[in-house]
Amino acid sequence: MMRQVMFALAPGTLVYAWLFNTAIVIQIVLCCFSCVLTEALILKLRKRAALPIVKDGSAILAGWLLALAIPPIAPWWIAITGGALAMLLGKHLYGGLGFNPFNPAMVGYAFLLVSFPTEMTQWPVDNLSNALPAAGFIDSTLAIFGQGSGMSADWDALTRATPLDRLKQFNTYTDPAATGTDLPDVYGLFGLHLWEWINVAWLMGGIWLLWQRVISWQPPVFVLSGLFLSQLLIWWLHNGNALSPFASLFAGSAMLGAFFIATDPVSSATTPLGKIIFALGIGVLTSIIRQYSSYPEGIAFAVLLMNCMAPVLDHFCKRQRYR
Amino acid sequence: MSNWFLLIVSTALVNNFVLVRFLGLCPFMGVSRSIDTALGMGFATTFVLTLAAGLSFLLNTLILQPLDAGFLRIIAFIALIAALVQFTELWIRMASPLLHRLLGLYLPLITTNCAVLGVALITTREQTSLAGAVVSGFGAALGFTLVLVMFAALRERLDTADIPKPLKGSAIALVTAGIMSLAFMGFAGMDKGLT
Repeated sequence: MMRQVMFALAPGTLVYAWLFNTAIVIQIVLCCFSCVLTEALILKLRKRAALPIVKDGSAILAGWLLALAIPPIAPWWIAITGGALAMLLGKHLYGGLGFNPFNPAMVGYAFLLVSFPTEMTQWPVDNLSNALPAAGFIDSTLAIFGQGSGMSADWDALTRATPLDRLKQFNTYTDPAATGTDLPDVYGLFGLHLWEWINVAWLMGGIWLLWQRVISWQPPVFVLSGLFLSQLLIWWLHNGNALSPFASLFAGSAMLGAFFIATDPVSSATTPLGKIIFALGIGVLTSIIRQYSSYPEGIAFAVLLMNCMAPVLDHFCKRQRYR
Repeated sequence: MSNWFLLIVSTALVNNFVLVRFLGLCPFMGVSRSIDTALGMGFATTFVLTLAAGLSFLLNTLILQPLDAGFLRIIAFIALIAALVQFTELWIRMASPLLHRLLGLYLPLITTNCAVLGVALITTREQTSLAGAVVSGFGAALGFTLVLVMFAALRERLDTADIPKPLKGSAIALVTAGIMSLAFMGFAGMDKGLT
């Protein structure tokens, strides 16, 4: 099952590497290495057989998801710390796979974002814009391993705010009379500039997973409809001066969250009604955090918040059945 | 109307008393063994907190400030809260035995809940009207109840988990509270974003 999920992640990762930065491969290797090493060490400490548990692939998958969430040119210790924390706090303190109440990758990501805000918001220039030089594979590798002085171009010129960052700044600082469509390079054809194609690739991977019956249809459908409807309300409340509802589905990591993170069976609710409310909640909270909080993307926090809510949802959904 | 909504969002989620300001951790750890007790504690605290926020505001503006006795604030509020809890218990016992049976156990515990004193002190500092104080007290209590019930449900789930021996009990509960606090960081800045 984990192997199929990784297979489905591959197209999105390739598009990501092509459009943004090939160094994402290094981040994936670092995160997976850190996750697997931490898992093996903890299992050794607990005197359990490490090999069969490491082999189930869940640690590698968590590492991969974490690597997709952090900027591709973040320093190496970000990936190592994040992977170790994800496995330690998110999974093994609770007894390993099947018992973790929170999504391990999202715990690692939220921890990194809150602890190292500067390193976690340095996004590279994309490969397609001609105005700015993009960091090549060698430059990015040098940057990841702290050898920034050996790079061929100036470091500051290689980083740029993501479309969601630019929307956030627009929402916070500009006067309400301006409209969101004036922003350069925020909107693409139907989603947010370039991120739409990554999201399409993740959507394809997700649909393949649905077709293979690895995931059920409810979580992604209700996450996306929750996101769409609540963004529609926000958009209407702000007279169109907000991220447009359809584009919000193809922005940031919306598709990744809907198909690969919200579908985690362990940390979600287990009752049928609870599952639906869980997924809707992720979508609604994502759009609220994107629009109103100080963070540009809300998937990770929305997933963690709904992880907190999942046992409560189960409790009340179960009760109603017996009444 | 939208101001009151903003105030409730701000006190219940963005500045949640337990997970963001780290107040009231004693009942948070102590009364979160099961969802039902957590709900009972939550209702009782909501009742007392809303009243305490309003009354301490009145006490501060009508008595302490005219007498220039702001230094007595902490002692005065503690006495007020203790008295309030006692009177509430007496009144509930007379008015509604059923409610008393539901809340009775938790009422005395609220006296020692530092979140109540924290809310009283913070609202008198931040709010300029009686209604504002009452609404922010109510919002704080709402946030407290929400977090307490969430935490209790999570702990019920953890009872069946294969947790390493040294971490069983309060250790893993504190780790969980930490991750919940991390999740609530997502609301940061929302009170400013909504205005």
